[in-house]
Amino acid sequence: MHNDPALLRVERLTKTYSRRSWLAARHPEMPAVAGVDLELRAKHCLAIVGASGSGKSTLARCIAGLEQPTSGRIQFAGRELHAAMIHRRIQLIFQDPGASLNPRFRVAEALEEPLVIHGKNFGREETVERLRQVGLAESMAERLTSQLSGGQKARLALARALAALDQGHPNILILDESLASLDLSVQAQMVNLLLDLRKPRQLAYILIAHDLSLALHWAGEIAVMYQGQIVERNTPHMLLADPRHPHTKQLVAASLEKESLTTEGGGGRPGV
Amino acid sequence: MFKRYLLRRLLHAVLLLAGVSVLSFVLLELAPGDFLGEARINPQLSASTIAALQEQYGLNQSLPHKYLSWLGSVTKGSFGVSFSYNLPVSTLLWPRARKTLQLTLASLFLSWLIALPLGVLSAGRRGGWLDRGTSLVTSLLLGLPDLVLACLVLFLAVRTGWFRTGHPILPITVLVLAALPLLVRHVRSALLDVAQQPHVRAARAHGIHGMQLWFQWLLPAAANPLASLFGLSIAGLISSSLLVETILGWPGLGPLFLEAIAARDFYLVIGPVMLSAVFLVAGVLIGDLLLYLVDPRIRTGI
Amino acid sequence: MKSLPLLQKLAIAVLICLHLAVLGARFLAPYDPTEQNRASTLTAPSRIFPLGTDEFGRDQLSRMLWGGQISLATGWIATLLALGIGLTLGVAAGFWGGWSDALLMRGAELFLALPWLYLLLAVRAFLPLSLSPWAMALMIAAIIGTVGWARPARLIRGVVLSAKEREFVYAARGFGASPWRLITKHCLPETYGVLLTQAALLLPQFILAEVTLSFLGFGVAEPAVSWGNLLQPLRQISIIGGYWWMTLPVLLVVAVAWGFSALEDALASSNRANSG
Repeated sequence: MHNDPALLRVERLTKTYSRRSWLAARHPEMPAVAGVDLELRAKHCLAIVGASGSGKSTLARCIAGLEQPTSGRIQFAGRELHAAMIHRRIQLIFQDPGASLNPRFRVAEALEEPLVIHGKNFGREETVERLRQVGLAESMAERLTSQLSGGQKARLALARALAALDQGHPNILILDESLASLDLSVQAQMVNLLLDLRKPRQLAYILIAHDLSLALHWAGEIAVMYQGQIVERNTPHMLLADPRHPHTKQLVAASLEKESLTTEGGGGRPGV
Repeated sequence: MFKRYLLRRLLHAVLLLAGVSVLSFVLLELAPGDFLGEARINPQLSASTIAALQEQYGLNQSLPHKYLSWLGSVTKGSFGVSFSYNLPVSTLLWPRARKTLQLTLASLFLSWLIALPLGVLSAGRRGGWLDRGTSLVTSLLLGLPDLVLACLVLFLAVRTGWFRTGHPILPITVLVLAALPLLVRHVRSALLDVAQQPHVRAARAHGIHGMQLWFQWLLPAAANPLASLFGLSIAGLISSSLLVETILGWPGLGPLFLEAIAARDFYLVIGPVMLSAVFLVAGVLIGDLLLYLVDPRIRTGI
Repeated sequence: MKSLPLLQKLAIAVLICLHLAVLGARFLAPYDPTEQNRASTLTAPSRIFPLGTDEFGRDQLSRMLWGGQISLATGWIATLLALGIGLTLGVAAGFWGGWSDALLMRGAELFLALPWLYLLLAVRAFLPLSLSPWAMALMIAAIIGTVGWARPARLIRGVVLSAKEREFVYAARGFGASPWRLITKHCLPETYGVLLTQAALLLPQFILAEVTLSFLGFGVAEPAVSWGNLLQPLRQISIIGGYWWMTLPVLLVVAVAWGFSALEDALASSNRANSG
């Protein structure tokens, strides 16, 4: 069914951690993800927002193939994705992009890792070009990843994820609270970069966050997650105007408060 | 509560010792020689005599058979039979074991008696002359293996003639000197770590110092690492005692053991091996029990 | 290296020189270590015999140089064996966890509870006497190594356990990396520090084990030479009291112990500096 308009379709996804896993300590009886349905079209941006423990990270990892769902279906472009293929179509960028880089590796080595794993290689020129695409200078290539700043590490993590994805097809990039740890100005630059890359690399984004601030700026649709389930889903505009679920109302209230604090502070919102 | 903890640890210890006994039996069986090795090459003994001896000593039995009959003798208290002495192993072991225990306990007591104050004072006046002096001496002593220490003490005893060989003060000195450096270092670092802990720093900020600080805050907090250390120090003393007893002529388990292995007297060899394992495990068990008594956090963890 | 105190540097230098001298025994030793000179037994150091002779008239210097080969080699082989086994088992347990981990921890506990000196002596006693000295040394090294894997294995398991939880390992998994690659490229480099410090700890212990064994008469058999054999005469009070040069081999043992202790301290402070 290649004509399925949805690039990603998730049906009744559930993930329960067995009691023996240390992760079960937080929710020993409740499943982390409880029957989630979701859809994402190519080149769209979906934000999944919820408090810690709502299961949003677990959901993201299941979609990215880093965890096995207990039950449910994940379809990519109308077909179930074979485990070996997932990482070429869906990539996840972690909460602390810097931590996803081995500090002993050089930048070029880290960038090429996705390919080296499959026995291929970039030439020097291609490596430099890819670094440039995310705003990293050629001189960075031989530095140790531990020597980069937070923002530079985020860019490198992005470049790696892009390197792993198949070119010429629509793909999905999941950002698991990846921008939260960055300075506001760096955040803004990253968001710009991601938006710039959307069309040329045919990327759809799933943004995982614990508050609405970033989501409101650039998500096409927001899904609110609470205790393992999607409780509300709407466009940002409609969500702000008419929140239904109590948790959504909390999130909206919190974001408005944050908004007013920054405007009152006299600095205005950082432009996107 | 305590009984449950005690039972659990005892069960664990017994299982461990069972494992050690099996492993020891297997390792010794794998080695090709046995008690009659010399006898076999002796031209004066006929093959039938050898065969009869083999029957008598039970050397033909399979490994599981041997192990089980040994276990049986353990429950009866005899621990197998010594081929060389033709006596139950236990009659040979107990007097020697007592001697070794005397040595070990005396050394344990003395080494802690010296190490605790030294460690406390070193930690208390960190960087002071006592601390630096102690540190130097411990570094020096650490580099001297038990073998060297024992020969040194023997040398001094012979030269000065103050003590005859066989006097307990000699092996005790060696054991204490061997155990002291690590003990002092660990006590000192345990106290330094504890002094950095938030609740202790808070107490000091509140103006608590001196004796009160020591007895109400520092020592109780340090009890955990110190209790574990106690168990380990027993283990260390047991390991060192074999060599020290042999060199300094103390009639403990060590010399008996060496005699047994020279004669390849199987059950007399297994005896001291198991006994030292028992002491080792008992030492760690005592450490765990002390920990329980002294650290309330362990009790709630059950 | 510059910040090491002088004594430490000296101890390490002596250790290295000792190893080099022992390796070059063929060139440095003036005599055959087993050659007996009945006319000059127990002579004090002189121009002919730089470090004196023993009760059979054998040159002590040559015996010290050649004896080092067996003692040091046994220690090194045993250490490499113990570290090899410990690394393999520790990586397997730490990486895959589950029952292999539980098995390793129980097994390590068992081996750590073994009174290894007793066991070493016992197994050695039951070995045939007809083995050649090097075969015997290898057997002794094998026994020491197979009993001593437990502590390194536990430490390595710990390192691998925490390494595999790091984000960059998950990231590599996300790129489809095989377990082999995850282990070799990401987990193993974290173990190098532990391996080095363990080596510095085990080497002196294992060398000393061989010396102790030979000292007690259960090491390599005469006429082969080991440092333990050299120390054997000291068990007689007459020797230890009357002939001072016979105690010189003790310095060898002390040099090894101090050298490795200094090396271990140096490694520990450099580890602290790197992770601090």
